[in-house]
Amino acid sequence: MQDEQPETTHEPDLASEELFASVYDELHGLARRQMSRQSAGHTLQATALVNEVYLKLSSRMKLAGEAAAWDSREHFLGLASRAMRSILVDHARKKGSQKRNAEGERVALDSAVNVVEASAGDILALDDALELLAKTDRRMASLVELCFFGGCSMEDAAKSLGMSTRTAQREWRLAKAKLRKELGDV
Amino acid sequence: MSPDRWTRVKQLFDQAVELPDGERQAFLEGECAAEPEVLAEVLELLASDREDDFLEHAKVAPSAVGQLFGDYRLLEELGSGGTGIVYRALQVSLDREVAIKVMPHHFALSEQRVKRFVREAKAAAGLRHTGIVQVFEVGSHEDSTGSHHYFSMELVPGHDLAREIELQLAGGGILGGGRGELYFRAVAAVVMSCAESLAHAHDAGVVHRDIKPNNIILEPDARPRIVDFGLAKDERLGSITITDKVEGTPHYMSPEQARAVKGKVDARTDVYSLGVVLYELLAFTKPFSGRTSKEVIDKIIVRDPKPLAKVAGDVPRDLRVICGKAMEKRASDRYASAAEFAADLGRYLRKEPILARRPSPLRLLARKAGRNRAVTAGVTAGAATVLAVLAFQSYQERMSLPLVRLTAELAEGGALGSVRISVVQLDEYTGEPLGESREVGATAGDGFRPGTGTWRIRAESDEGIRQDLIRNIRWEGPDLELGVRLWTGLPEQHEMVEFRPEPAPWENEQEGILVGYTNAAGDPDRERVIHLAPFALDVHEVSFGQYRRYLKESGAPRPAGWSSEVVDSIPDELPVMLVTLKEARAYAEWYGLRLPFSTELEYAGRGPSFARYPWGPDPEGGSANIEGYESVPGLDLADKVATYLLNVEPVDSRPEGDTPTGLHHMLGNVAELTESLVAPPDLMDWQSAEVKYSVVAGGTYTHGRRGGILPSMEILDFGGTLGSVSFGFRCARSLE
Repeated sequence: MQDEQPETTHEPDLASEELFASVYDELHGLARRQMSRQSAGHTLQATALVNEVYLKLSSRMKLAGEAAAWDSREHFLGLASRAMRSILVDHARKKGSQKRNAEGERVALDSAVNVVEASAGDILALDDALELLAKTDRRMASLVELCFFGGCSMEDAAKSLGMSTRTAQREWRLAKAKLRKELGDV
Repeated sequence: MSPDRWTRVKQLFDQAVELPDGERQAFLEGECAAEPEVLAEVLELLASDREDDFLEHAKVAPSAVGQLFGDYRLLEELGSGGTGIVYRALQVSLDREVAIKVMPHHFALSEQRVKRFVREAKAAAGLRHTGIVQVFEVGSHEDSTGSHHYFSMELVPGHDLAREIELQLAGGGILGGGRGELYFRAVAAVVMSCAESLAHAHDAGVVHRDIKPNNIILEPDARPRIVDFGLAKDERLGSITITDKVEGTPHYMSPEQARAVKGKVDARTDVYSLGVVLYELLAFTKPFSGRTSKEVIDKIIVRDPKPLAKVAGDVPRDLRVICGKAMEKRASDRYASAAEFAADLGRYLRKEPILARRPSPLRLLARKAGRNRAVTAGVTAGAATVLAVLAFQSYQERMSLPLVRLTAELAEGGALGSVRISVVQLDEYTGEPLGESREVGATAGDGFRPGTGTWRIRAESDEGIRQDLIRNIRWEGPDLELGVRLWTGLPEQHEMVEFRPEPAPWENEQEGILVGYTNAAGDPDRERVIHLAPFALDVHEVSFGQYRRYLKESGAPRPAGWSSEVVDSIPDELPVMLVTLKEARAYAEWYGLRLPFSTELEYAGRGPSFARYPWGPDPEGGSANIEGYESVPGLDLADKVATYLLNVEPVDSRPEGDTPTGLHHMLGNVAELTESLVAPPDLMDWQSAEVKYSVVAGGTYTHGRRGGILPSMEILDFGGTLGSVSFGFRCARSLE
């Protein structure tokens, strides 16, 4: 596939982990605030949330006179998608255990998980299947993370992964088939 | 799986999906005959490859700021919801700023849906009203990610009502100055304005179906503007999955939407949803809460809302009553139109008495009894909710209300100037007006669509000569061509008595007129206090002689029930019978009259003292033709007519059975057809609210003693396709 740039990676180094944590917190808080204002069953608008966090963190750093801690918007999207996935999966796990979030947050994230599960089935199973996919094809797993959890457009996801949009579209189609197969035809 | 093998699988998959289904297997078998595992893997993946919304929920249209969508340059994202992203955009050709809403492309599924989207959008684009955000254009735009459907609309400054509620909760907002009298009045004004906008849309035959705070934008001067007219349905298509979830919020769904019943969603659905918006603006909380959509939907169907008096005790009583009326479970219990909803809010704002009434304790009790059955039904319905919601989506076609056209002439001949037409919805049983009458045009006009329910259509000439037509208009019923014959005076052959029931209508809820429509058993649940407008009633039942004269004068066809010549031998002075409701109505209208409501017969028969017999409280004080029934055995028409002849009496006979006002045979002789409709008593819960039958009032000669108390009533199949040898009628007219 000659049309591609060399694969860029965002290996979780220390700085990146810190960054991830701040994105996670920001996203979590925003999701909670947004969702608790909405009714049960309202769509989690991943795109909107991610955009808002991006703007917020950017402007905060600009105010503090810092350079953005991420290389590019694409880099940020990768972080945010991963954070979003973690938030929802963590929440789904807690639901199974006795640990509970505060009522408002629980309701909010429940409905977000519900929305995800409406189009993907059990979110924990999806998480496992994605882990498995990452072992075979990490880039394809990242694509799913970006498109599905991060709500990225195909163009943004492609840019973030350093591939062409056409390739991303092909990969996305195969990723869906692969995950559907793993998940037992949901 | 080894990386190499996976690479190989990917390569083959990518190639195979480009081929037609039928060629894939052969291609793959040729390519990897020596790699059975790869072949199996690719085949399995191909089997799992299909276009649906698996993993697609979050794929909304990509942020496209800067792009050119047809004539529109997208400038800024204004917001996004489950149904698409709204941008501020520049319409290049006109150099004006507009708002443009772009559909998420996974909604743009089948061609059929796109077609419907466009059709609906065009209907919405035809609406012009200051309270409705104008839709300019519908279009689509192709780019590398597929085709995106969009529509452009007015760019309106301000924020939506959902945001306003948030601001109010935070102590801000642009309505009122903090919670209090000013705020409640501001809320009433906003909702009234919305209701007026909806009334305009309904008159044009468009129902919004998705009224909610997010779809009402409040301009900085507090003027509300409704958005997404007629589009809501299509936007939601494709976003619903077969699970317990409905995308978007179910909180503002009407019970009939929640129950997804075919043909039942009409203008009153918007009345309900706007009622919920009013509730939320007043209470800062939604009337039904639930953790899931399904829970909310189930509650909408079976539960009463959390009482406003409890949730927000500071809300003025009139506003609570208005809100309750708009949110009634049964569409027929709500305001019949958005216009009436608006009118009542207007009365509140002008500090006039409102028309909505709190349900009486008796009715609440009856409702509760009905609800128990409903709960069982609701539980079963719950399981099917999602399928039902899907069904609801496909069933909701554009609202189809019959069109009414009127022609008018002077009965006695001569030139007629213009004739004004006004309509008012009536309670389908009592005949009470449910709001203020509104002018819908002149006879030369294009026709009008009053709405569903029972309507009084009034034609009035410049000289003040008028006639009322009563029609029950049903959803998707036939269009009506009505002819009015205006009489300058009362037709000579009709002697009438006038009634002006006191107290005056609307004066005092508690001192209205008590009526009840069951017969001798007198089920108290059916009693209610009503307010009748002045009317006049025939002294006599219409006789065969009168009816025969009418047939000759009008050239109307002989009643279908008069299928034997035996009928022609019936003497002129006996009451006419074997006529249907339609035939009786045609007779009345030929003479500029109408049929009465059963409540009018009851009031005239019982009088203000609510006597059990036309002549007073004492069964022995008079008599009615309800005794001494003799029958001729046999079922054919001649036998029935023979029985009729044996028992029935001339219309002007038996003065000892008259009411104090001199009406003959209000009890007994033939029973009388009326315009009143009721749900059959054994189906009195709201689920069957749409099944209606005509009331035949007054008791008949066949009934004997047991039917000998007023009101003595029977129920006739709606529309009365057949007459009966014991059903006749008398005429009525409305007075000033």
